[in-house]
Amino acid sequence: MIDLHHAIVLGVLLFAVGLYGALRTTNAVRILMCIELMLNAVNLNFVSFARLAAVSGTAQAAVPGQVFAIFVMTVAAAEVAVGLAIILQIVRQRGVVHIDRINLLKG
Amino acid sequence: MSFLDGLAALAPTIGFFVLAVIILVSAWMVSHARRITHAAFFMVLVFTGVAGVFVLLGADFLAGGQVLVYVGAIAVMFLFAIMVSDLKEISDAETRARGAGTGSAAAGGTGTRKVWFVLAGLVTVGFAGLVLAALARSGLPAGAVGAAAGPGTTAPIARELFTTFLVPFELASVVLLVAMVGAIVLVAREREEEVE
Repeated sequence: MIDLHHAIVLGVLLFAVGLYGALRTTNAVRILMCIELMLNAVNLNFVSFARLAAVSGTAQAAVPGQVFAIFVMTVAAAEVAVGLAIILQIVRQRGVVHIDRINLLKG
Repeated sequence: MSFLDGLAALAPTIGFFVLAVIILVSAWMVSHARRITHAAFFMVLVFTGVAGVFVLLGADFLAGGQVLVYVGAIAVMFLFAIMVSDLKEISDAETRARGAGTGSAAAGGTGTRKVWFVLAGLVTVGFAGLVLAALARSGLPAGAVGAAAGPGTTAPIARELFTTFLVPFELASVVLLVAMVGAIVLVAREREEEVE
């Protein structure tokens, strides 16, 4: 059967890959994608620990962790909508999608 | 017969590791695919794989929500954004900047870029090592968490969502409404200027 540690290690590795991807690229769209990967890794851990609670307690104990994952999904959807709108706007106005060339606040 | 029984008992474990490999390879490809469209499709693969892991962990409602929200809404939103914007800028500029090896300034840029890659890798490996070390020291029970056949989680989640978590649930819908209006305002302003 699946061990709790396997699921958590998978979450950690997915988060690490997403973090590395977000740090190494300068493409704003790709950074947003990698943030989604990290949020997915967090959800994976939420569900793993919820499952642990259900295995060691009653089946009802898994519900709060899964509800948290639902809220993470909601925030992710809102974040992508606003983030993509901002990126689209920057691409239209400045023709640039690379964060190292978007330096409006640079004194 | 016992071999088949053993295989049936092993199936979730095998499925988990196959899904884990698919998830990690696709996640790696999200940041390394040449074209941003391919990266978006690899992202879809990651989301689907995570939905499969949710099923193995007994979270059937979340697996369905994952496919609906992430694959059906978020990934499609990414693809639409790539489609309606200047595709060349988003997809090609990165490879162009990486391939531009002419001139000393560009060479210096590549050097900085390499240093930056190493720095990003170090930060990532350090973070992952820290979390894994914390996990090893945490004394978490290493019990099996694979799902047994159950009545499903949809009804319990709905009951909790509309009683205990009612206020956060309504706040989440307000957040979604604000995000929707915000996205429309942000993108529609440009169109008005074009009309003028």
